[in-house]
Amino acid sequence: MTTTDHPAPADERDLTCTVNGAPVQLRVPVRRLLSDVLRDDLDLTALQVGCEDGVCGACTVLLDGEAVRACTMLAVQADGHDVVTLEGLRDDPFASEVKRAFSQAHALQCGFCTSGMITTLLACHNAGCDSPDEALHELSGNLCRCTGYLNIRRAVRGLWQEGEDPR
Amino acid sequence: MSLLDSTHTEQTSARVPGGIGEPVARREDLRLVEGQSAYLGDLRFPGLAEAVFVRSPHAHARITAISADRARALPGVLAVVTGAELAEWVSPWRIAPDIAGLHPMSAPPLATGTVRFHGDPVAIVVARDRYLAEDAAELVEVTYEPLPAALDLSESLAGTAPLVDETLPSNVLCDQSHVNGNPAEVLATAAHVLRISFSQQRQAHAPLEPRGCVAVWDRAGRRLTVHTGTQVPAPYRTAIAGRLGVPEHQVRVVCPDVGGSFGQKLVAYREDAAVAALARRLGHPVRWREDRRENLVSALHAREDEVDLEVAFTAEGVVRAVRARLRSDFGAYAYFPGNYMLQVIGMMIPGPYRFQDFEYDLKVLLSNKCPAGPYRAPMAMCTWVTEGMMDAVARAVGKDPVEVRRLNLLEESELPYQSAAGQVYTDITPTRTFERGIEAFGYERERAEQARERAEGRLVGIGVASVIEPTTYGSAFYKLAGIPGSGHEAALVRIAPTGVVSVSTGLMGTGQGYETMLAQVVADGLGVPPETVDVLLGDTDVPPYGMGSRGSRGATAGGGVALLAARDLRDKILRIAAHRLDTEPAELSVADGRIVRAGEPAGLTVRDIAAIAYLDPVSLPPGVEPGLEVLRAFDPPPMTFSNSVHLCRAEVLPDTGTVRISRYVVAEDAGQLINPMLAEGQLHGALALGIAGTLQEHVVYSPAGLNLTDSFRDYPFLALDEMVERLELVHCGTPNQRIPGGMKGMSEGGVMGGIAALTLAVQDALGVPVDRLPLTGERICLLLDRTNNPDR
Amino acid sequence: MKPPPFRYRRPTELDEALALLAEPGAVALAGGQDVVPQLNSRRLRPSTVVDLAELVPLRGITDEAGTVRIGALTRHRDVLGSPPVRDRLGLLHQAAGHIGHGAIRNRGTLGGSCASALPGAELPTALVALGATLHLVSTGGRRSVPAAGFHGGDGGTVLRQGELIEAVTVPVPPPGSVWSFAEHTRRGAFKFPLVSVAALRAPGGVARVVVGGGRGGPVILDPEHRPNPDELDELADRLAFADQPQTGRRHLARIACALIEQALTTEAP
Repeated sequence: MTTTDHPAPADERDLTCTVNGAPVQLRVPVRRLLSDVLRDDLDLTALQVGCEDGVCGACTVLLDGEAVRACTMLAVQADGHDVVTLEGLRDDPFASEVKRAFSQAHALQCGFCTSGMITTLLACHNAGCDSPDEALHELSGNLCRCTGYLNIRRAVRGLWQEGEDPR
Repeated sequence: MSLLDSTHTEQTSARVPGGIGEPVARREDLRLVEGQSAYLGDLRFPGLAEAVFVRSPHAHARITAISADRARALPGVLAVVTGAELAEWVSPWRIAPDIAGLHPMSAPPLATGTVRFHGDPVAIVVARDRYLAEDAAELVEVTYEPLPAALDLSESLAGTAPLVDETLPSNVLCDQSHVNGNPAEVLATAAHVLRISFSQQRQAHAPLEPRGCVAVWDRAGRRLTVHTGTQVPAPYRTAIAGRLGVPEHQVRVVCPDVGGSFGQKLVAYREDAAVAALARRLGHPVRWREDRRENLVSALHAREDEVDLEVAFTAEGVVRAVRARLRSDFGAYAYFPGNYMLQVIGMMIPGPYRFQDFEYDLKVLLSNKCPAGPYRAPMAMCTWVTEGMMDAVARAVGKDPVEVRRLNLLEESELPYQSAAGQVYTDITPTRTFERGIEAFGYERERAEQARERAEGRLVGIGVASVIEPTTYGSAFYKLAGIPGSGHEAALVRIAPTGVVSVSTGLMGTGQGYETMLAQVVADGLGVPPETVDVLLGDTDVPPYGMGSRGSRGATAGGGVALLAARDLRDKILRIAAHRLDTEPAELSVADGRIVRAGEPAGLTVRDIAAIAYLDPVSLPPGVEPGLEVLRAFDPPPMTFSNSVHLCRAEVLPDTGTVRISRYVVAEDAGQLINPMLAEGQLHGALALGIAGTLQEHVVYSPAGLNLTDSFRDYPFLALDEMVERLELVHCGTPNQRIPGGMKGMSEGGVMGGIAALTLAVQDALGVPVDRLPLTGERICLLLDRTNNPDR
Repeated sequence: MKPPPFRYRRPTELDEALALLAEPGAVALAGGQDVVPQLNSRRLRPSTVVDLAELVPLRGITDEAGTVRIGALTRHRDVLGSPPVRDRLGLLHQAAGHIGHGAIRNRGTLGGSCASALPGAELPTALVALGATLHLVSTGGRRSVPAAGFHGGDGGTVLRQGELIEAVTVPVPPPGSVWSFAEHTRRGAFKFPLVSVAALRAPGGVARVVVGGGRGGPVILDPEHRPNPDELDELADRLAFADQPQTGRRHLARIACALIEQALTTEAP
């Protein structure tokens, strides 16, 4: 399955969007993935790349406020849209609660999946998800190799239920 | 060296706040939850180029031609180097220990004449970015002459498989045996003998962050810095320096944050050396960041092991003798001594049981598959084997499996006890922990409930697994076992003139929370608040040289030596303080960073002592050197152990073979826990790996030897909704007398117990022996078919 | 795993898109949840990627008398959240709810799912059970194909080079209809169905049991004939199941039996 006729490899396009609230204008190769533009061109390295297959969820970011997997998007598809990464959620109160709950519950070990999980949970919350089971159902699309998930569940239950201590 | 600490001044005190035993939140989290961590892919280097490897599409083939001309011509490509060219700059990997029964093996830095597994690297491409490098890799023209592949263990044993390594007489890399007592005679004359088989499937470590490295040379091309996630920075440095022919002290290894490893980031890889060589040739930094497909196909695999047992037992159910035949598929190259993983399985088959007549023979086979390496609890199947044996004996004599275990389990009064494999068990609680677990599970009640459910036609089973987890692996272990290696660890603890503390050891964390753990240990040993303790890991320019993290030794070897060093430093502080206060050191202690006498602050702080030590050394007591720095090394006992029991209740849904775990209880004795929250997290993670390894993870090769499970779609690790609903955990810790601080190590036992307890629960549910993993829905349905239609 | 080089176009008009897609090697990009991973692994090597994102008329759901019309570029998330779909096409609503996770549904589209035709996918199975029609358009004009006839043998569809799915129309089942949807997914986080089953029974009329997972697309089974678990090979043949790396075809057929049984005994209005 080799091909020798590569179409113009320098096919590029302007990308105009907002990232974490700031306007961005870049000229990007059309085949470049959104995950790579965010991480390598814009230095937003909180999102991580675990598979480039759309399965692990470590690259989850918000596109127009909704969770998407950046490795399943060409960067040029973000043209005209609004992208928010974990870095842009520093002042978000719910995101801060999630971070605190995760640490208190020891819901992370190596941390590689954590950005994707926090972003997924935030998107869930913003979309009006109102039960821990619904949030956990959504989160079951994010892979973790280290924690065995029990503490992650505990953190999420604490976040979605009044008065439950994440510890 | 006395580990009973008689050389240390007694520290009379209550628990140190935030010290050993406290479930404090991790300091690592502060940067990890904010996305401010720095994994390899997050680092920035001016002029960085990206490397990609051209890899064999065949399991076994001769390379008849290789041309990089078209690849080199692609704009943006900086270099393309083949195996033959690279061999001029990088020496081969060679594992040639002088050990009977173990053949030497070499591996070229990149494959040259032949490729030996699907994914074997044959050339390295370096380009401006990864996209271009992948384009160029496709333009490297390699002509292969496919050869028949060695893929079947029994064919390699029979000598009918193609040779993987032409320098060896067969595919048997290692052939060793062990005997204790007279098992042959006991087996020959026993009235009751069983034969049972256990076969485990090939799996992959698959850390969420794949492998990679960045190699940076100084302008003169003399000093190399390798940025890479590795569990063992110092040994890695020695190895990579050796491969490149660079003096060891001119190589620095710096570890960024690491996204998991589980044993896969333990060695300096052929790819790493190729990257380093290219970086030197090109004069600017080169990065290789493996992708997921490469990782699943060509990193390291594990667990493709088989054990066949012959067991002699009495009519009452007492096991008298065991003969084990162990076989393992090691893959195409040796990154580790051939006997390394399989031997620990053999060593642990006796488990926590009394029988003494025991022999095993082990054979490690090469194959045209990805090389094997230790994967968290490489010995894991031993528990399934041992506990499966107990269940089989129970079935044969018509007794309850727990009752049979009680007949055979070692009691604490029998310790220290030398097992049938020559391991000296001390500081374990096999019976005590077992009974605590049985009680917490409510075993009698669960069996009664099971009987009721089975009467309703439901396939419900209970599995019980006692785990003895070997941990720490001191140097003497390697010597005794005939495995090349050493197991010491070292710590440097320093107090700066302003009184702040730092500790470094040879450990490197890949998620375990070592920064937090070591701060707690040092805070405890010194008597200072943990917030004042800085932890430096993973930079080989910072002493000491330690053997690193592996085999559940972080807390025992690393924590243990850090505690020794901290206590040494505390003693020096007290000597200085005593001299200053005109009293004896025995009258003083350190608490919360202050010198304390008779329970009251004595008016001096650690900071004051540091100021004296560095800035006013003339005031020091005679014979005390300036400064407050201690370097301590520690070679732990050959082996330490923790123990636990796992109890699992599971139901099989016969329509699809789906397994539902309805209850999971663990009673564990892991000694003194430095941080109970972290220890529990290790158990959870290990258990998840055990469950996934039992039910669903399987590296599958096609009949032609091509890896079919090269993505997370086809290699599924446990998802959040597949983990047990609840883990009931009973702590039964008793201190380890042989490790400073009393730790035992415990991060692998969860895999061992998980595989065993779940497999035996499913076996109990099905009512037929399970001799092969994974227990996919398909395999379970086939087992049920066979039970229901024995003639088919 | 990075995509190979290709040209990229984002047409604003349907005619423009169709002209681009008519060229050999052109591939349509909708939600990208199937296409981009295939680009990353280089299983797909298009000469041109035609991004359909700006073809607004291909989005949206309209409720016409007796029929619901869904534009091909409607995202799964919008199919799931649509009141007409939820209230009048409950089977489709339930199927859509099973798709992956939110992040997949936020991007994936109905048309993309149908065109990819990955064995077992939820929406194609549901659409065949509902007797839906796919409306195709190309530079050569328009044509309509029943969902049941959309799949070719061996994993493909009847889509020709340059042809796009423009919309799907779904007849609303008559009042009193009962239906159910069930699936058995792969293990792990990917959660893609190995087998999906949709059943629909209209009062005094149409009854369909449809099984997705085979290489020839969803297969309509005789709803009165419950498959026999002792005849798994025959069922696997009928359903065109193929061996997967982790699961053999006989077991897939066994799963299908279980799901069909479940679908026929738990139909909801």
